[in-house]
Amino acid sequence: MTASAATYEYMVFETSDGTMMTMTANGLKLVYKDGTLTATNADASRTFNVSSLNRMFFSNTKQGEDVTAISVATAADLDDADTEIYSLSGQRLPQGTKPQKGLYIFKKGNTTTKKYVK
Amino acid sequence: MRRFITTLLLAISVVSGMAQTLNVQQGNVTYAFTANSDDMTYSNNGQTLTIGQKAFNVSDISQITVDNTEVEANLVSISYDGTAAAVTIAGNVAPYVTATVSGAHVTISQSNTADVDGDEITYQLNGTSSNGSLTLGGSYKCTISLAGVTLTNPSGPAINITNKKRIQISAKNGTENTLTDGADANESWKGCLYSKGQLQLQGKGTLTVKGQTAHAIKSGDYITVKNLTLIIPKAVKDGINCNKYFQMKSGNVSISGVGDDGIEVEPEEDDAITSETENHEDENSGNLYIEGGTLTVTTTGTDVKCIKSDYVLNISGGTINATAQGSESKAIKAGHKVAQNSSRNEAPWNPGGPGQPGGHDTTKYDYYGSLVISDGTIIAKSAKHEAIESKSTIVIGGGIVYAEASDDAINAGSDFTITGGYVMGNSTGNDGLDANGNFYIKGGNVFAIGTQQPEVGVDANTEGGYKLYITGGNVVAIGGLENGSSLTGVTSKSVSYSKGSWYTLKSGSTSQFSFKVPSNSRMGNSMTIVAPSSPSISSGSMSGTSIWNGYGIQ
Repeated sequence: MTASAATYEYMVFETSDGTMMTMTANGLKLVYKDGTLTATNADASRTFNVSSLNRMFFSNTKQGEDVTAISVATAADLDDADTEIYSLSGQRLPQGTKPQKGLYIFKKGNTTTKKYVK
Repeated sequence: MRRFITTLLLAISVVSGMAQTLNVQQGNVTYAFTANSDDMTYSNNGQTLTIGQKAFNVSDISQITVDNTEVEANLVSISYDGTAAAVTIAGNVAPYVTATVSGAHVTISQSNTADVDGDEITYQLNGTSSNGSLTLGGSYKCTISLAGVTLTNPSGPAINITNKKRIQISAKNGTENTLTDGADANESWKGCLYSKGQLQLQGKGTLTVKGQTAHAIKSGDYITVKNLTLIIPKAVKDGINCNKYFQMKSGNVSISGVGDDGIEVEPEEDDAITSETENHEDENSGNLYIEGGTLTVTTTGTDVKCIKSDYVLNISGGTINATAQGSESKAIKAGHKVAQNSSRNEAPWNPGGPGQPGGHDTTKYDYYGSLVISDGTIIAKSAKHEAIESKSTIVIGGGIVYAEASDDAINAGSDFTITGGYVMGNSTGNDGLDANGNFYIKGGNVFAIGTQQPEVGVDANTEGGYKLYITGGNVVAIGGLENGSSLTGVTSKSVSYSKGSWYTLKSGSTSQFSFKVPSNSRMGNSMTIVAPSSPSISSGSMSGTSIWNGYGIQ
């Protein structure tokens, strides 16, 4: 991989038969065990036979099965002092501010997720 | 739906302002790839994952994560924590760096033979371990950045560099870094900080190195020091030892507690010696250069030197405080001699100790190297031997030199030339300034104190057929000048003095420098003064800057 400042919304997995599946990239964790790859993030978890995998790649376009989702922010999310909340225009909300209804970026540590505030 | 898509695109634009990283973790080693859209391919029935040019056995991968950490290109981060260490390798150098971690002992193998993405690889160390180390192999230059690391290896060097190329070790500004090795009676390793190759020590932080088996710092090539605050509080052998040359450009180096020399340049016996080269390119001179900074060395061992080069020791700036406290030990030593035909079984060359004859004889020995001082401030003291010695020539053209010794304060094995600067030789047991060949004073300001007859203030090897020539400069010699001296263009005069008193030497009506006669002088009550025009002294001191360890004012 060459150095790049780009970021990607999704990780796409492709198996040897050409089937693709899309998962949200940030927060994704891949673990290999007993011939399988288990991919897990805040939205979902999927398991692949390693022998059937062809490639995986970052993308900003969903391809194949979509297992991404926008989760709903919980009260704990909103009260977590370690979580930074950004508007979709990139403005960080002051700590302790209760966001209005809508979609926001939640950043905690090195993990960023989109969540819907009801 | 359209609104939702717009929202998602906006979300993407926000996230794109952050770094995104794919972390491939293998035990305590993590390869951190900056995200891009290239394929990460599986092969070998899914057993191999290739990312960029780096192939991984999936069975070796602990996990892969995606997060927003920043990846600094070309950086390998090594963090020590007690009995463990974690290594993070930037993805762009992942194809060239293999790391293995055993406890807190990290071994790096680097395979690139050129810059990667226009730069060399940097290994950045931080954290603490009392049982850890770094071993670095490879065949291309790189940098080790010390970012606040305290590393002790009880069973080997703290940092062991087998890479023979140029290695920069840079202490980050404001950081304190300490390296310590273990004590090994078998001397299984050569230094606490060891490099087979060229070692450039730099950075505006502090590095402390303790050598408990052999040298504190050893290079099989050259060593340079720039900016760094380097403290060596202990070494069983030399504080700093290198083979090709040593160069101090700036910084602050303090060496004490060493069993052998403070700094020694020690060429390999089977290596061809070169002269100094332009920009020191491919130089294997054995020379030692002090160009700036502050160097403080104290030794207590027997027959050791604070600063030693068997070839040229060139001081062109900086401040040097060198104190040798042990028997047969010297503060500064340069040059060496080799018998022209050792089969002739010549008697050992005698530099001319108290009551012994001089012995300069170029028909029997070849002389190598020189001590050259053109600038800087030097205070050299030896409690039980000569303070400054060259086995070959000495040339002083500038700077401020103070030498204090129980033997000759400054001794040249061959010719001794002073053309400028301020030079004081304060001997309590022999000649102040002594040449085993000819002694030339062509300029500068000289204050030489011999001890008692037959020693003199300024001595040349008259017994060997050599002579003291004074053609310029201003000289004060307690104990006088060597008999048979040749004075041209200057005038000498004998004047009386009182111990512990200040005087100002004048040439005509112009004050040249002030000097204080040591209160422990044993050389009667008269001295020889020399100046270009009507030398005289007046009681008291002129206003100016203190020099010569408080014995002079310029």
